[in-house]
Amino acid sequence: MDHILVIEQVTKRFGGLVANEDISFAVTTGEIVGVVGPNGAGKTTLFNLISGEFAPTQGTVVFCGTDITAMKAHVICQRGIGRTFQIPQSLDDMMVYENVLVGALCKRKNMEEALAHVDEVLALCGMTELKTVYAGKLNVPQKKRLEIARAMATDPKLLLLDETMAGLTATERKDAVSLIRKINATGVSILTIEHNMDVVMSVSNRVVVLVSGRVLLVGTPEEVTSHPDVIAAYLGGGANQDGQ
Amino acid sequence: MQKNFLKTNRGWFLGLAVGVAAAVLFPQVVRVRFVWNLLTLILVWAIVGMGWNVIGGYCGQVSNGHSLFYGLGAYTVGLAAYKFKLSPWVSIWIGVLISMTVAFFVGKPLLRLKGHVFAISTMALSECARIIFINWKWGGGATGVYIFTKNANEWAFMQFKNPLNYYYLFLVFALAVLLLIKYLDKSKFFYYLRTIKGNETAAESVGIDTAAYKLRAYMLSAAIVSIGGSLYAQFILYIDPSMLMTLNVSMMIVLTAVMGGVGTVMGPILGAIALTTISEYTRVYLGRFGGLDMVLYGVLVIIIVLYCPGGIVSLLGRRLKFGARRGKA
Ligand SMILES: Nc1ncnc2c1ncn2[C@@H]1O[C@H](COP(=O)(O)OP(=O)(O)OP(=O)(O)O)[C@@H](O)[C@H]1O
Ligand SMILES: [Mg+2]
Repeated sequence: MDHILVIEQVTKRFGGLVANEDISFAVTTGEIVGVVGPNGAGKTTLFNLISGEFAPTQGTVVFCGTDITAMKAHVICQRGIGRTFQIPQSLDDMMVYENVLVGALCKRKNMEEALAHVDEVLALCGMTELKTVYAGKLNVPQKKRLEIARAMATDPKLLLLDETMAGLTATERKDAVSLIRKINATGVSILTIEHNMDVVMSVSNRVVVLVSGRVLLVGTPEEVTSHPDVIAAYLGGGANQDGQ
Repeated sequence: MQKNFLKTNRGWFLGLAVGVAAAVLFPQVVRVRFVWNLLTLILVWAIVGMGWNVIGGYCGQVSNGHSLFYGLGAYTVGLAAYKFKLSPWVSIWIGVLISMTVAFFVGKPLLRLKGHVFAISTMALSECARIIFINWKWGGGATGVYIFTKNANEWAFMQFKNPLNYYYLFLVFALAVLLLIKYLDKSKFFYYLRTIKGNETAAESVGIDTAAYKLRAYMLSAAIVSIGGSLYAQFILYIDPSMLMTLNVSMMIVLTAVMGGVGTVMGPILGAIALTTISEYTRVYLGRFGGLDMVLYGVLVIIIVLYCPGGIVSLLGRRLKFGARRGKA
């Protein structure tokens, strides 16, 4: 079993605030790993460190055997890590297919090839009907889906999903879960931040629990849900099931 | 890809053919020297506006200092003829190289700056350049240089007795730039520029080297504006810093694109037609009332920018989908 992503003793400080502290865990190739933790636990910060949004204060991130710690965001994407944003960063003046196209152009020079790939990705994500809608006209769940589509268009080996299901209805969530499974079935490893415990537990092979910037526990969904510290710190700690 | 470019844009090329035919015939019908002059200037501003549009319109990095490249283009052609008897057919391209080199070195640090800071820095940059040129004795200093070459062959030195020759020659240049922009409009390069304009974080996240693409856009922009400057110098056969490198010129460059429609293929051309016409007529009819022409000119510009922020293209686009990129390929 080889690891697609290895995080070693990663720490991120913002001035005096320690957003991530001494975080270590690994993602096995082909796995879906859930990341949970209360608001402000440092989940998004961790994604930003992996995707090269900013560099960690300490520690290393290894992707496919290469140290990517000091690399820039666009290089990391080119190497095969795709990501979505908690607050969707859609290109509102462009149509849905153009949003996905700029992702598809990451690994393709030829326009026709890229446009063909866009159609595939839109079909995968169930967005074909919205193809020529301006992204600014989409509602939040649709924008979150577009985030996934755009990231998928870059042909990632590892996909980082930041709360793609917050604010979705139960049926939409089901669709989203099946989308994640479909993506995973194409061979993409996934690291997903999710507040909804049912979703995380059903979709993840393993779960990382972050509390106050530290890893509290890494384990299978069963191990995590039955762990007393998790129940105390997170599940019982007043955090609601749907996040904010 | 080449074939497709023609095929998918058949309507556009048809419209272009009509436009070019009109542009060719118009000065033959209206045989007024002032109008010929105006038409020639429109072409210069169309080229310059299309050039600015690459960095300012498509990439969203508003440069207020593009008179620098306009001036560099003009000066290269002017000094090459005056000092070295070099034909503009050669020196235009030297000017392009110089402008791109300067753009490369100043763009690297400046393009890191965001929004207004970038806008102001570019303004400062072109002001510095103007002051340097004013004090540059060898280059003619503040008085400038007449670049008329005696006994030169008209075509070899681009110095025509018949003013319409300038017009038709510039029309070819403008057409070439327009076709280049039209080709790039749906290319990876310009899609990347639009992405950078829309959201830099998103751009980086899909693997776009934002710094590198901004720099490329800035260099291409500088190159095109430089050609415009070279042609202008050739048209009036005179160069001096206070005519070429002022804030006025920079603003006029920005306005041409803004008025026509930022980030669109046809915008700068429509902007050039509107703006040059307004400014030439106000200059001629109101110029003697000490600055009144500038006031009226300013008011007209404000009205257009206020009531049609998408530029003239957006007005037409609503009805005709004319050149506006919302018209989908
Ligand atoms: N760029 C930044 N500058 C300063 N502080 C930051 C920055 N990004 C995050 N933080 C701080 O780091 C801490 C962790 O934030 P982070 O966004 O990673 O939490 P999170 O687990 O994603 O929370 P949520 O569930 O609300 O999304 C917070 O206290 C936040 O204010
Ligand atoms: Mg977060």
